[in-house]
Amino acid sequence: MADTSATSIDPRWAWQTYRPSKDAPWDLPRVGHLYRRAAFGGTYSELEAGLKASPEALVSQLLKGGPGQAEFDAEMAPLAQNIARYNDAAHMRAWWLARMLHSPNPLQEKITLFWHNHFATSYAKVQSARFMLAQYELMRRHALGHFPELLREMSSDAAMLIWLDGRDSKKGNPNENYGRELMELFSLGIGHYTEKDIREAARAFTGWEIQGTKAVFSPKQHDDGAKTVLGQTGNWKADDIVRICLEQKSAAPFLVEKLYRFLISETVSPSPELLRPLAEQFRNSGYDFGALVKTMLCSNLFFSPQVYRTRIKSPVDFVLNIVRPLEGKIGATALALSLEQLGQNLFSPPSVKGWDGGRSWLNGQTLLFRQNLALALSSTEDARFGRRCDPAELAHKYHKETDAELVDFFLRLFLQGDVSAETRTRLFDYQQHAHKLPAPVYWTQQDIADHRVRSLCHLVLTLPEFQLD
Amino acid sequence: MRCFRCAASGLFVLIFCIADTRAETPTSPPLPSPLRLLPDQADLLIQVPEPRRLVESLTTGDLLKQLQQIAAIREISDSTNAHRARQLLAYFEKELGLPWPQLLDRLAGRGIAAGFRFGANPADVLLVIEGDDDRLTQQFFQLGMTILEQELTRQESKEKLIKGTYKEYTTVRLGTQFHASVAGTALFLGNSEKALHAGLDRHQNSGKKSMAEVTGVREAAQLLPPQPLVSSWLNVEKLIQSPGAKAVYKSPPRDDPILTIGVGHYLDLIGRSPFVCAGIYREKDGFVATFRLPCGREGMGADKFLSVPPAGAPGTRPLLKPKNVLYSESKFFDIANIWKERDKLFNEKQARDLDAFEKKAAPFLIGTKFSKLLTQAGPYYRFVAAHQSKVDYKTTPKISIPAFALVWEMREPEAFAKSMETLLRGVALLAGSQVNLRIVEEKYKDSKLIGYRFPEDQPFKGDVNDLRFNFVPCFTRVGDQFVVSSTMELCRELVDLIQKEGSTPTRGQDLATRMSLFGPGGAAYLQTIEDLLVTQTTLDRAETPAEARQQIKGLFDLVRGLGELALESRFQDKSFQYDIRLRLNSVARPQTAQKER
Repeated sequence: MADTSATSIDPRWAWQTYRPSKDAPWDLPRVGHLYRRAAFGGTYSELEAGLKASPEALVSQLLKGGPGQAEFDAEMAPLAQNIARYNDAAHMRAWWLARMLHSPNPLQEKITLFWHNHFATSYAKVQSARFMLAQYELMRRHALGHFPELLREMSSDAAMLIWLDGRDSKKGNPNENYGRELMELFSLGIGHYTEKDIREAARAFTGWEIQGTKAVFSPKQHDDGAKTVLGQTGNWKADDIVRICLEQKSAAPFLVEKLYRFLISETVSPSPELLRPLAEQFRNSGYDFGALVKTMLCSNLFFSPQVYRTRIKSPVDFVLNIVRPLEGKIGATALALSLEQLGQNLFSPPSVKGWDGGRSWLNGQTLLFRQNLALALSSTEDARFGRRCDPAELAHKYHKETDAELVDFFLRLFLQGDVSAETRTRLFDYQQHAHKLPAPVYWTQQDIADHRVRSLCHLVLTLPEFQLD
Repeated sequence: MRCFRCAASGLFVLIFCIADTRAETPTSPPLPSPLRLLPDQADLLIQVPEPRRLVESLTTGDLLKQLQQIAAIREISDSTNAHRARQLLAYFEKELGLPWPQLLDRLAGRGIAAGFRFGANPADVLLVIEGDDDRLTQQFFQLGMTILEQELTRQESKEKLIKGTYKEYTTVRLGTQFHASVAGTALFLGNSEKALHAGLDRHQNSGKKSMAEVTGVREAAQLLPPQPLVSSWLNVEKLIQSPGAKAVYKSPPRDDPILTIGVGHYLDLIGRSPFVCAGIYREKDGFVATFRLPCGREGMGADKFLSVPPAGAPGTRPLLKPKNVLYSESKFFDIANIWKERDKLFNEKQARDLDAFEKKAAPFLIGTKFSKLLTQAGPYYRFVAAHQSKVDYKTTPKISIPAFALVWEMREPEAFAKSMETLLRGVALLAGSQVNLRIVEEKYKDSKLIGYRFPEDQPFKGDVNDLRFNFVPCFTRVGDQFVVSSTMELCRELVDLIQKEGSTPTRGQDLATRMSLFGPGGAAYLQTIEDLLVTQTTLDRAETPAEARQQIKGLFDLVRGLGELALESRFQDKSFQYDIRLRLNSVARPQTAQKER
């Protein structure tokens, strides 16, 4: 997975809607690619059904979400209320992970995760599950909506007010943290503003405080004098600064590039020319993020070999891409705790910049943790997960019995069969060899067969290809 | 070490398996102990004199049945590992031709003993399991090794079982930390060759001393009640040899005065005792774990002034048990001696600091001297926490906090109560400047209750869950008892209870501490956080909220059935005893099941 430049990619071709062709057929690897990037992996039946649908129809279905969203939300909401009431941080993380696992609209959760990394607010400082969950709800509500609304509401979000010290920002003593990050990390990027712009913007954000469970604007604490921000002068308030920032030319390309890295490729660096059509579309649509996501997911570039497996699975993706395909009924609390070991503790990004992602996800230690977690999830012998995620049971469900069927099944399930012939042969040989290994005498034939299936599944999960998204 | 961990978890799983396959057989008479096969250098000794009785004690009765109704426990019992353990057990039964109870008797009927010698890392460990059938023991060993070998092959492990000999014994080794052998009716497992050889030497009667001849172990057997399910002995002298430990396990003054005040009496005891022994016993209505030390009140340094009832003095007062009691504690703690004996308890600097504190505290104590407060207070206090079924406000707090109270016996009731009333009124006045508390006075029986209420029509910054409405802090005096309570309701109930016990309540002889946790009160409290538990169970176990709620109700039944967990400490002149007792309620069937019927 070497870094490459996308200068040679034709922008017109890149963003045109992908139409299956002889050279680029709608095949299982492309279906799997879409399910990995736009969801958290697909089940065997989802992948098979996806293959029968058209790419556009599948993207539309993912954008729309499946049936039962209202019922799902109604079931999850009281849990969130209890977590908020008792300020239960561990279960707050589990709650979101459970949403990612079971939501009929996984794309919405995935884009919410994108926004969580974008606004990178941490419970470590906020110390309130209530506020963190409210921020999550804000991001989810606007995940595929219009960005200006999200940014406007984020500017007075209680968790953000604590995270970037907005609640301490008063007339005569403005705190610059939010103004700085709004420009540097949330909308414009470095180099598109001055220190003076930050100082002036900070004055516009004064006056917000937290009373009880709500953020409240206190006019007395607000600096209502004239401010000059990014060349515009007026008696600006928070919403005005958001508007002014989004009027800048640099805003759309900045956000488009960030989404490109999230959905398309971490290693194929996009040229400004490549992103220009998308940035224009994004800006002209009033920053309609859903439309931008749709354009990217439907594009030729998204389904092209250039960007295929050019991301490293984040810990969340790694874990959910095991549990969802295995159709496991696993408690999210233990999974959320495992994520911490892998380096992605939900609701606790390491800094205002979020998780670095990419290669930083993998090092000697996290790779070992990934292997161990894959074993724990697939072996049925780990006390945390028990027999709730059993590859053998899944293989029985889909009537996969012979070695060849089993190797093919797990490769299709996790890697859509897209591995080298050598890897496939190696797995098959392993499975054949496993028959010769003596089992303890007290095991039944079924025990022995099931154990072989679980070991094969684990082996597939440890293939280097599985680390890629 | 991995093999030992596997063996321990295997034993745990086996107990669960055995629960499903119990058999009725009479208890065997006591048999000779395998202690004679453990070298006398062990620092920690753990014995199971009658393994069969231990297993049957754990697997009979309502507790296990109730545990098995909890979904999480059932899941452990249905796990792959438990399933394999059951298969393994069945395989042994088939191959050795006996059901497990007889196998246990024949292979381990004389007991199980494990010795640990500290100093090396990991500590040297030797486990001896002794039965009465040498042929069967040999067969069992061979079968076990065959299975282990198969497991190693299955895992494609580089490690192999290596056979060897030591004197006339055949030994088996795996890696560097698993060594095993069979000698007659005894099975030896050690984590070092040295440990295994030392055990085999004792079997050969080479004249080397065994743990059976260690004086401390013999004394421990005298100190403990007979017929424990499990017993242990710890060589304390060895443990506290380091200079750091010596500075702590000694008589005061110590560098840290908090240690002296909190646990000084225990530190002194441990510092003087050559050993600590413990035993676990089955009782009619539950289990008791008792810890015994061969030193007591006699010979104790200045620590005796704080937490040890003097010889002839009455023990602690009875536990207070209001409605829905969760936790109750009654202790001897002569707080007056913190002041009176400060020169003996603390070093010069600490004593000077205490004097300085008295001067500094004077303005805050509103005319009362700190030393006076201490000396007017008596040496017995009680603390109690109870679930509140309703609060004293119209607003219900979003999170329920149990009511709690401190009841202190007074040496000078008039003077102490007066000092405390002035002090507490002052504190309330000070708090009132921040919170706007409203004072309420109530005559109840012969006592005057003085309490403080939060206004319900005013917001309180930061209290998003209305926690303040769990409290109506109040105080009162009942005879020689001073009560400070978090709610008026609990305070009234305590007035009733204290009046009922009269001026001379029954007190346990030599009792220094009593503490109890109550299952029914615990269940009542857990019900107030049912929504949280349902949320956690839903997420922990990937259940629907409805399924989770059903499981939580099973948990309430289990906690309710746990009855009481009681802790008691007792100082005698020459010994000390600490008991942890689980008294199980006889719960015929869970309530949820009754409802269904």
